[in-house]
Amino acid sequence: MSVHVETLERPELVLGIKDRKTITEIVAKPLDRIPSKSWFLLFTLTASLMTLGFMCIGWTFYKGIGVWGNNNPVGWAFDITNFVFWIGIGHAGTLISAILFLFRQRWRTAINRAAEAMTIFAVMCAGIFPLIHVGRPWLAYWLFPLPNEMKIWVNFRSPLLWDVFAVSTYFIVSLLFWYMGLIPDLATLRDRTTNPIKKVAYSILSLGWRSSQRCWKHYETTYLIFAAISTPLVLSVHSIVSFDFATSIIPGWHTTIFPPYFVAGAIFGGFAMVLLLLVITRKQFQLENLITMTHLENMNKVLLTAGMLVGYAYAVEFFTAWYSANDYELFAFKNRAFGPYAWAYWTMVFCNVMSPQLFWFKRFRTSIPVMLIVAILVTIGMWFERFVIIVTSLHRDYLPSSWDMYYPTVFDFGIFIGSLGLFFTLYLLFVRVLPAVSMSEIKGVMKGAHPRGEVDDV
Amino acid sequence: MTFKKGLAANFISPQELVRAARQVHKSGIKKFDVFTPYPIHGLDEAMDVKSSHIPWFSLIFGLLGAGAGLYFQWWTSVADWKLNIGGKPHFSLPAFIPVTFELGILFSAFASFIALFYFCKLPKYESIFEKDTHALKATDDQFMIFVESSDPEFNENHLRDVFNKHQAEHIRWVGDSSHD
Repeated sequence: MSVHVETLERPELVLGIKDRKTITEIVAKPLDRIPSKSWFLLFTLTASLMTLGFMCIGWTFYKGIGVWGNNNPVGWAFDITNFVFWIGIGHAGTLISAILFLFRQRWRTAINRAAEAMTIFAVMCAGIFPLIHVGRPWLAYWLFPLPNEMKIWVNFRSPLLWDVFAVSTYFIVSLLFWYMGLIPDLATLRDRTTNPIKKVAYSILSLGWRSSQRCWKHYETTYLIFAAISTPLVLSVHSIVSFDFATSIIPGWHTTIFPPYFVAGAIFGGFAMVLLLLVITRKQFQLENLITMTHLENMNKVLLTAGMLVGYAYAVEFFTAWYSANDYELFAFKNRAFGPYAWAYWTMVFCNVMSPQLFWFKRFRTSIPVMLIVAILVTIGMWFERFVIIVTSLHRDYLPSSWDMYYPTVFDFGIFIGSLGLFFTLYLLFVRVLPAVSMSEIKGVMKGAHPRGEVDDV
Repeated sequence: MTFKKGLAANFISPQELVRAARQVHKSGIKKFDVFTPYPIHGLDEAMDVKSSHIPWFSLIFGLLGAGAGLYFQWWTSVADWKLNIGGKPHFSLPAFIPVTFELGILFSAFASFIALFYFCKLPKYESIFEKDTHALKATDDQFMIFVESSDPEFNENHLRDVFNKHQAEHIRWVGDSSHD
C-alpha cells in the first residue's frame, strides 16, 4: 500500500536575496547615508511635539497638577491612561523577542529588533506619567525602599509599589536583552565601516565581540535564558499593572479577569504599534525582502486573535456584572455603555473588536492600506480602553453625591501628544544609528544557512 | 580563549566549514575556534563544544534574588519598623509575592548577562584579527577557522591539507609573526 504524503511548505522568510553580504548591505545602508528629506521632516514634527509635551510638563511642575482636568472622584485620568497605554505597547517587543522565540516562530527574526527598541521607548514614555502624577516629582525617589529621615519603609502590600518594581525590572531586562541582541550586529558594523569615528563608536559598543563559535554557544544559551525569564516577566508586569485597579474596591475595577484581560490588551495594542512602525520602516528603507508580506500577515493574525480575546473580555465583564447580582457592579457597566462616556466605550468597541475582523480575509490581511488603518484604529481603541476603564469607573462609583464628570484640559492633551512625540523621535533616531533588523539572526534563517545532511536543519 | 598566532582559513559554504571543523577537532587540536556571522547549528557538536554553564548562574542568582526580596520585605515590615496597615498581618506573604518574583527575575537577568561577559571574556580590548581583512569577513558573510600554532598537535601541512580539501580560501598566518 502506498501512502501519499502532502507536506506544507514553510514560507520563505528572506525573499530574493541569495547571499549574506547583501543582507549586511541592505540593513546597514540607512546607517551610512545622510537622512532623507522625509526623515528630517518627520523628525522636525515629532521633536516639536515632544518639546510641546515637555513645555506642558514644565508648566505642570510650575503650577502644580491643578492645571490638569483631574478632580475629586476622577483622581486618575489622562496620566494613568497614558501610563497603561504605553506600558501595554511596550509589551509587544518582549512578546516578539521572547515568547515567539520560545515557540520557535522563526519569522520573528526580521521584526524583533525594531519591536524591542519600541518596547524600550514605550516604557520610557510610560515612566514619565507616574512620575508627574505624583505631583512633586522631585520626591519620586520615595517610591523606592530607601532609608530616610522618617524611618518609615515603603508599603510592600500596595500594588502601586509592585508596579515600581515590575516596571523598573521590565525596563532593565528589556534593555539588557535588546543590547545583547545588538552586540553581534555592532561587531558586523565595526568590521565593515571605514569611517574612523564610527569605527571607534562601534568598537566600544560591540565590546570586542569576534563571533567565535565558543562564544556563540554561551550567547545562544544566554539568549534562551533571557527569553525564558522575560516570558513570565512580561506576563507579570501587565498583571501587576492590572492589580493597581483589581485590588481596589471600585466597581468595574474589582474583578479577577483583569490580569489576563490586560495582558491580552497589551499584546493587542503593542502589535498594532509594531505593525504601524514596521510597515513604514520597511517601505522607507526598502526592507521588503526581509520584512515580507508573510511577516505582516502573521502579525495581522496575531492582531485578530488578540482582538477577539479583548472582545471576549469585554463580554465577560458584562456577564459577570449581571451574574454577580451586585447593583453597583451592574451600574458601572451600564454606565460605561450608556452613560455620559458611552461615545468612548463604543469607539473602543468599534476599534478593538470590529476593525480587526477584516483580517479574517486574506485580501485584507495582505493589504498595506488596510493594515495601516486597522493598526491606527487599534492604537486609538486601546487608548480609549484604558480611558474607559479608568474614567467611567471613577466618575460614578457608590454615592451619587460624589459623582462628577471629567474633562481633560489642554495640558492633558499636550502631555499625551508630547509622549507620542518622544516615542516617535526616539524611534526615528534608532533607525538612523542602529540596525533596525537583526542581521545575525536573519542570516541564520536564510535558505541553506545551516548545513543540510551534516546536521538536522531546523 | 586568547589567540596569539596561528593558521587561519576562510570558508564560503557552511557544509564544508562543519566538515573541516570536525577534521580539525578529530586531529586532537584543542586551541582552535570557528568564527561565523551567525550561530551554525551542529557546529558545536562538530567541534565538541561543551554546554554552557550560564543557566546555573541564572538559576542560583534568580533564587537568591527572590530570597533576598522576600527577606527584605519581611525585615522592613516585621523586624525593622512594624506598622499596622489596614489591619493586614505584618508578614503578608501573598502581597509580598510580586516584588519577590520581580527581584528574582532581575537578579537572574543580571547574573546571566554578567556571566555571558565572563565566559566570552568581554569586553576584549584587542584581538589579532582586527588588522586581518579576511578575518573581518567572519562577521559579514564568510566563515573562518583559526588554529593556534602553540597547540601541541599543530601541524601546518596537515591543516593546509584539511583546509584545501574543504575548499578553503585565503589560508594564511595571522598574528605577530614574520610569516607571510
